[in-house]
Amino acid sequence: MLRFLYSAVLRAHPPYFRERFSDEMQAIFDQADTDLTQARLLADAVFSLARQWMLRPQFWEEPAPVAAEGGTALFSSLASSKPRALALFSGAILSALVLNGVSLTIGYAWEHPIFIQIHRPTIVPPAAWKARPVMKPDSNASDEPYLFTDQGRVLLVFNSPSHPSLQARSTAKPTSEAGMSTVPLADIAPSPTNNIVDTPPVILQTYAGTYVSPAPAGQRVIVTIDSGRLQLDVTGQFRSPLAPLPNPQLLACGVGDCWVMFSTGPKGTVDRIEVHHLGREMVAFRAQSGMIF
Amino acid sequence: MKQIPTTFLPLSPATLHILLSLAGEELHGYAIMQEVQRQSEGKYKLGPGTLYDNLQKMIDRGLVEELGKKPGDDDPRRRYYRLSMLGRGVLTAEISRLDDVVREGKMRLQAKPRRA
Repeated sequence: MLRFLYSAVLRAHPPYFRERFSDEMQAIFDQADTDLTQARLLADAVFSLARQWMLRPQFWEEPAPVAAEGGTALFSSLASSKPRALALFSGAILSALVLNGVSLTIGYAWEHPIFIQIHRPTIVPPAAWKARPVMKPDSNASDEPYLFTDQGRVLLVFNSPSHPSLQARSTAKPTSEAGMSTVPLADIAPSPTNNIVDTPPVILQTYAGTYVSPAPAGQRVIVTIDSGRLQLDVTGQFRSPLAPLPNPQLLACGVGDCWVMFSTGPKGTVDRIEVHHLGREMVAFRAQSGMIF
Repeated sequence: MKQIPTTFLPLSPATLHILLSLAGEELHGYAIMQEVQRQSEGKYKLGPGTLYDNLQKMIDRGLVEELGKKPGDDDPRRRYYRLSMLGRGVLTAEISRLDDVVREGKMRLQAKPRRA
């Protein structure tokens, strides 16, 4: 171990010194018979390293010859102007580290505003937005996507007419003669106890499964059914019950500022989930059988 | 251009001991360390970092010459060094200077101190 460290310290010396003396210094180290002696030699090498880099700049590189015998001038070629590959590699690593450090700091400060006071603007929606339309159950869901807001957030939901949940809803009772009714905005609020829609278990069953997110890579989202209710488990982050909202693909979590939306694929099966939590969005896709995490 | 030995004086203890160890014969680095330790009766231990830093400067100033490796040596990594003519002149000048210092010191210490 000490020999490895000693060799590393010798390799860190300026090139000219290293070429001339590192072999001899290593030979002297190899003759040391006790650990204490080797430790002293290692300390001596560390001091030498600092001395050579800080006090001996004239010996960093081999001096160029000035003249040959007889006074004939000698010409030496200059070193390449291109940066060394090692310098480029070190610069790339350093840049990546700095960038990651800044990103992590910003992310941490966002989650912990005690360190950096981040002002989050609060937008209060107009009173006219306090209600949103609900699709007529027997109407074609793809006719018109609808818009509603939640504390200043605008949400567009595009229904898929091929989804079985929509077909199931088409058999439900109409809410009013006009085919449209108003539901308070609080429906979308993250409280599964409010405005829970009675969704058939067969539809809930289509949501259950394991989903995997590409970003962050490998993040698992598990949706299960427990006592007839959907349970969301974002592995390593939070667990929450899910409450179906009037839109059959939209579900509210039991934790604050969280909702979930499922999407169907070309085959009509639910294979995509969006988890919106604390202003962040994560997309995950249903894990296929045989996948290895 | 011929260099004057006295311009190198006074020498640092490390430089003096290295020049002294090379005054008798050409030596490799480890032998120089052992010779310095022997000369000072174990009171002055020279580490490899200090040794080669001083050797580097002395070679650059022309006080010591590097001979390279010797065939048949126990360790093929060893290089040998010897005193140059300039180095020998510098060592002679330094010994003479120290001799004067010692003589002057002895003379002053033997004299009776005056009372104020």
